[in-house]
Amino acid sequence: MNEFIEQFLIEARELVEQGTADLLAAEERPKDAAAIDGAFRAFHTLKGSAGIIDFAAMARALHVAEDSLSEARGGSLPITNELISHCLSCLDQVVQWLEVIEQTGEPPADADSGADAVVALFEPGAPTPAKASPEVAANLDAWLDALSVAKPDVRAAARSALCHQPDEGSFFRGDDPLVRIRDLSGLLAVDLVPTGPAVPPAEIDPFACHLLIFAISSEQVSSLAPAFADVAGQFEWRELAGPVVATLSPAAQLIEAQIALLQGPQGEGFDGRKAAALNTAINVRRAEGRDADARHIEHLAASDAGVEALVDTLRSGAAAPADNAAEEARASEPSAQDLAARSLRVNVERIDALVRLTGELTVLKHAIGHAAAMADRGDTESLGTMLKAQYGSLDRLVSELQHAVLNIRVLPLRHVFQRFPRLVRDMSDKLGKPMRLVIEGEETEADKTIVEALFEPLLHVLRNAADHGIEVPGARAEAGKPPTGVVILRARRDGDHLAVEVEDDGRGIDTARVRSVATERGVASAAAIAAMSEEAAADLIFAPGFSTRSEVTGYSGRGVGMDAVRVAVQRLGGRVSLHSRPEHGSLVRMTLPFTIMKTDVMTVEAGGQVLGIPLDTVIETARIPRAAISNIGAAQAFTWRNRTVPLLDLSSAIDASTASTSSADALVVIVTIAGEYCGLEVERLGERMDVMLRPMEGLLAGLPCAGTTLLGDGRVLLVLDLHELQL
Amino acid sequence: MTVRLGADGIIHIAGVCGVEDAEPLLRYLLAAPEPRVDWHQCEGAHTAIVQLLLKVRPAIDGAPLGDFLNQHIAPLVSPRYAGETALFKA
Amino acid sequence: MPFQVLIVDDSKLARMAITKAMNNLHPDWTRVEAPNADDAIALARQQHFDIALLDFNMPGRDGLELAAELRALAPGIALAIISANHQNEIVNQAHDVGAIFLPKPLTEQALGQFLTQVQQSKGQS
Repeated sequence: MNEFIEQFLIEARELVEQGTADLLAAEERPKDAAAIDGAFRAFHTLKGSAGIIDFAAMARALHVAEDSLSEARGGSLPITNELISHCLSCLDQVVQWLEVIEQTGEPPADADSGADAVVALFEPGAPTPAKASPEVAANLDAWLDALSVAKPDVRAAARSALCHQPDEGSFFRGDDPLVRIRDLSGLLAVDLVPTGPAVPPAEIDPFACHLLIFAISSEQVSSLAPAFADVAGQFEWRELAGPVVATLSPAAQLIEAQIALLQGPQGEGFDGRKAAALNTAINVRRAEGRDADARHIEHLAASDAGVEALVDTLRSGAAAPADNAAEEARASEPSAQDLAARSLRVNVERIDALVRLTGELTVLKHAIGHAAAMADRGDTESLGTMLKAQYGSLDRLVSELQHAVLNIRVLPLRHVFQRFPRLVRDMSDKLGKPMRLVIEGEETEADKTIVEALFEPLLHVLRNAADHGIEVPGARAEAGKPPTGVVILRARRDGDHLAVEVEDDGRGIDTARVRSVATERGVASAAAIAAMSEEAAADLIFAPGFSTRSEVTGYSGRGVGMDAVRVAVQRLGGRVSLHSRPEHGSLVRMTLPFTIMKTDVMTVEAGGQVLGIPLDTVIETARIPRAAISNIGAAQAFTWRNRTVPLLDLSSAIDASTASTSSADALVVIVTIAGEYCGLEVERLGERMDVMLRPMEGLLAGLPCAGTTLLGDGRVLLVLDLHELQL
Repeated sequence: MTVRLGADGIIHIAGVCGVEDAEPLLRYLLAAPEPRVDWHQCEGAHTAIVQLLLKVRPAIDGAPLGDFLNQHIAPLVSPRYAGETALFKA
Repeated sequence: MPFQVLIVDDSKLARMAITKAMNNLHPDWTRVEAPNADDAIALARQQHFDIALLDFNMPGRDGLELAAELRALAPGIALAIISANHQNEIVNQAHDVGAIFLPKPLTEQALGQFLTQVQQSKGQS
């Protein structure tokens, strides 16, 4: 890959991120000139970059989006949800191209169709299924709230709701919006609200449409929306809770929606809708890991099969789930994207610090060379003092170097947080729940490894909050909450730790339901679950086996339960806790080490092996007379400060040969593990060390260790992860 | 004639009214000091017609012939149902 | 006579592209890069530049504002504004501050023409 392409990828990724953030900011604050300016500039610079590497299709796609943003910036085009969505779609396309370039080292040759699709989005008058502006969405929420008070029976029978604001000029185009409403199947109720400025009757323009049309139906959105595909104006659809939808997985719902599209009217534009529906279906099956099904659909699509055959195939999901193992193997290989994320942009000052240290080390090297020459000559008179001084300098430089290197690896959490506003926007759209993501403390810094590894667990916790925490607008209204749910993503330094929290103002954890699900899935015995405190019951959502639902998502493409979140955070040396207040919301807190590289350890010997114990877990060391150690069943315990503390023989815990217990006293290191005291019996106490941990690799990976480091004599020091020890 | 002004000063809407009827309807509505509309012969009305009735709010006589109008629209445009139309204000 | 050239663009990729073209055209000329207007002004206060190539679209001050400031600092400097938006308004404003407008992405040919013009005018003065 040549250096231009390399630089292009770096800058383009940054510009996409910046553009996304600015677009979302502009959507939230349409009057914020800086946001729309920033978005414009990002698109403009991206276009310029595409030109530099001769990627004409990408430049073309960005050009139309840039034009629209330019008009929006000048005030001649309103900043609508639709405009922002189209610009985001353009960036999505750009990201796909970037991935191809990443892999092949050059712009894709077949990018024109992608560029055409983006250009088509921005063409005026194109019958795009317009998305509604936030006001229209909010109107629908308010109307539904009012309806559930005024006509609860009608509201209860409804499965879908629509707020439609026809284009002002729709009468001129021959549209009669109410006819569409009249023909809506399952129509239950209609409401009309005149909009626009109130004018005296004499100034009314009878041919300008200024109406908000509300309607609810007993049919699902998926079976109604296609009939409006060619109508100009804004639409806001809501799926209203019904018994059948709840039992369908998101994937099944998507498939049903595609079936509805295929079974819709076969008039103008049907071919396009059919292609889109099949594409979506193929993607859904792929995301589920059902590649054989996906290929089957592809095959049918290519052979121009009839609608009936297609629907049958979609419904049955006929083909057997094949070559899953191969799929999984492929999924576990790091993608080019993962590898790319390993490159790091570093503040110049931090590099300068390293350069300065290198200089000082060079000076010291010369000095030590000089000392060596003296020793060689037998000139040893002042050698000891000299070496001691040099050792002192080296000690200082190495610790500074460690510090400087760690600082290079430090990243602000913005790095991972900035991807979430977009994802939450998509969740909000998909779930039909208006949601706002508030980010706090994004400037908080932490080790790069931790920052980057937080994406997946945070995504899952956010998705969980969106799915299960935030209520649908109707339920929020009943609970006296504003229609828009608020999710706060927060980071802060907490002493030596990093705290990352996801808080929502939803319904909190329904512990009764958690208990029943946990019992049903055999997470623990029914009696144990029934006896649990409310807190412990809520915590069950982290239990392995609690979440069985495999969610299909566009992001990870595989299901993860909250147990995966806990495992991921523990792997980083952190903890996850959950605080729920019924009806008020819940808070998930991840507490993580600030850095996973540098650890204070105390060395001990057990079973002939030198081991490191993280110093932050050590309370004290003690000699306990054997007589004071009692046997409790197969285990041992001793009394220390009026407590009974379990005693663990460290050599047997690491499966080393059991040492003889001939000594009169047991040498014990008293530690805390997850708030509990524990004594570790060792053979010898070593020293305190400040070590850089390397992750466990290869054969060592299975041991209960946090990492390894090299000792001065070349031996490998295993640093124990006490949480992993089987007590 | 789908929209006509009767000798009694009442505006009659009948049959299926298209978008083109909106202009004469507005003219009649503006001409009368207290406009009155009779739509018991009306089978269907374009959105533009309904919109005028909503904005000008004349007195309305009779239930329209068309089912959709009668069931869903009449309650919204007829002042007799004023209590129900106040479901939501934009 | 080798010239001192200042290249200002917030995109490193763009600066690399210009540098490459400059390298082909005049490898003996000195090139100095700046990622924004502030750095460019700071550099211009410290050393002399014969030519400045400025990106129009940058965060903070744009290329036109920077051109005016550079002109005030060094009246004899030859200026080019580079932009992907070939709008008459920008072209005219560029001319108002005595700068040449060059379309982006900058081709070696267009840059070469501009540099030749500069050489001629400097040679004559």
